[in-house]
Amino acid sequence: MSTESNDSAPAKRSQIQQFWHQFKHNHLSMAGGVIIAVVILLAVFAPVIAPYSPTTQFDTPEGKYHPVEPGTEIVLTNDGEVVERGTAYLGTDHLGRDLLSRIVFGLRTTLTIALSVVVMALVIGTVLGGLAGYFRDSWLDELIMRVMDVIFPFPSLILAIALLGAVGIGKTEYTTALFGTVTVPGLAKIVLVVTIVYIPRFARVMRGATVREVEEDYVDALRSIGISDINILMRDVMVNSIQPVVIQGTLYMGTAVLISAGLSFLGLGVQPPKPGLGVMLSNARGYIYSGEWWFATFPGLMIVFIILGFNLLGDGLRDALDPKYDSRGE
Amino acid sequence: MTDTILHVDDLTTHFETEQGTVKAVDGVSFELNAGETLGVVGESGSGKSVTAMTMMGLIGSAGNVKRGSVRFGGEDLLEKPESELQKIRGTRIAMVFQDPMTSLNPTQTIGKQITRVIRTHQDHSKAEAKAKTVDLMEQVGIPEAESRVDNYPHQFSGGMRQRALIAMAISCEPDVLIADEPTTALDVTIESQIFDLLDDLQEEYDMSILLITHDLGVVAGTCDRVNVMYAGRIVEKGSREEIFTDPRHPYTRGLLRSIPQLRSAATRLMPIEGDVPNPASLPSGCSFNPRCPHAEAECSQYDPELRSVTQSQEAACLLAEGYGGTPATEEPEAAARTGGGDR
Repeated sequence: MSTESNDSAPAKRSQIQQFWHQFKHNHLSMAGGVIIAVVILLAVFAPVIAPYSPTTQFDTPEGKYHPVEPGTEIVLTNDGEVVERGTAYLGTDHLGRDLLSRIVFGLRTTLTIALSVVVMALVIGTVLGGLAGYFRDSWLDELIMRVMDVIFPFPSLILAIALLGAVGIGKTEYTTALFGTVTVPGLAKIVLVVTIVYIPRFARVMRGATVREVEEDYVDALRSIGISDINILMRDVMVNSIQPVVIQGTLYMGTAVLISAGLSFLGLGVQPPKPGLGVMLSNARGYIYSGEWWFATFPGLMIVFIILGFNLLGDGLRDALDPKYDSRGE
Repeated sequence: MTDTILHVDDLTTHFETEQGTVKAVDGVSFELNAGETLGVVGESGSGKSVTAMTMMGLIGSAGNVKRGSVRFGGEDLLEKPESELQKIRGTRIAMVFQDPMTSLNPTQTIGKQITRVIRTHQDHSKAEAKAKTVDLMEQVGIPEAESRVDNYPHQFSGGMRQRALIAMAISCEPDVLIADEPTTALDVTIESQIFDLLDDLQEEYDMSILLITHDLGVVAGTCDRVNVMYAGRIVEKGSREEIFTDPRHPYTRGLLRSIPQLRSAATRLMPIEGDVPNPASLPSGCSFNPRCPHAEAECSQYDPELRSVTQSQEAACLLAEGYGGTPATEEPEAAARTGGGDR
């Protein structure tokens, strides 16, 4: 008796190779990837790259408390003795601090917030959306999605401001019955608040993807062979439907940077003297019309670059991972 | 020999739809004996698959199991909680589905998927389970199993995938295997190989097979007994010989007449007139009466129950007894005559 021939030889390319092949031919998304790589390197190696401490106030030719233009000599004196001497390549801010050092360290803060927000919101949103989608139309689905519906329609910045208003700005100590005194740092509060704002976005995308995936025959096949629903959800359905959520994640990295900068700009986010891109813009506001153009321009450009980078990268990922989606509408 | 291991009684599953209540399965009763192959035949939408899914407790929230019991191993499966059903599925009752192309998770290797089933139900180490996986794959006739365990489903042909799914289904040596149109999506040449395989496995593991199909040819080749379903009900039950040589229900006769016969004098096939009725609004009386060539006035008034016509054969037709009097060969000949007249 002959059996079917050993057809369909192993695929020549693995999925990752296929993805890379798609991705590298998209020059814009490669550019986005390069921008993000550079920005992340800058943030990681901030202490090496930054010429000075981000909080040192230098003496400038115009005094200690005045922004000076890029390329000016700056000196740090202590009791008339020169401790440090150098050049402010991007100028200084209104307190004589080196702008380049502050931007590089500010990147750290801003990226940390954005990354924590997106990772946390993605994980929580994926689990909630996955549960809702798998147990579609059950009480669990209703419960999860109605809560999401309450959060979703608010403009993200407005909701973040409102939530921050409720928990307050800066470090707070809470006395709890279970854990004693818990100190919540200001940064953690920002992350928490923006995460809450973002969870519904991920949950909705994940629910949609899960609902589609659960219709697949293999889900019934797995159930018929005694695999539990939770096991199918975690090991099969979620793994197979997480792609659009990850793509959303890269796109939301950009907007998360914008929100965290926006909160800081309004004085609700990162608190001085900690460097942050939003705080720097906020400080620079008063100097825009008085000729100190560098003060607002460089932090602003940095924000633009980060968001541009993440958007290009996200678009490229979507094109490479999801062949059905055509961004050019062809 | 005739130990009944699965006893389905008055199984009734309804679906609530916008057009009304669909009685997908309506009072279905049958027994599955140890070691036999029982065929369930019917057109699409006759309730064959829903019967199987209800038995497995997989009907989901859309379906509403109204009545009935599925007695298996002294217990009613319909009353068991989901957690206990999960232990029964795969170990004591397993299922093979229609479309092997979509019944495997495309992102996991074949080997991992089989190993997972083994490790879910049996206490094996990873290495033991993997060795067992290779054994199973060899047993179901997958060549070079050792290297193909690491292949993904898209690297397997349809027939090979169905073999992999069968390997998964038999991995924990179930007592009952439900095969829901296992070869409908496959080539005819592969079809016979799959049935040969099921035959061998049935003998080796002493399984009972519930074979759901719309193909009477498949039934003729594999089944010991046959249930014919129409519009959610079993309209005729009997041994394979009885169904093929002496069908008592006009629907069964219609089905048989619509199979091409190599040696038959008829040159035209005789399809059953009309369409399957809308399940949300079945005709009154016997559901088959609008399509039945023998329908009489009372057929649209009385809804016939299954009645014994011989010792082992039952039919749900008011006129079934009458058929018993006429020789079984007369009908096909009459069909041949009218077929010839059309020429």
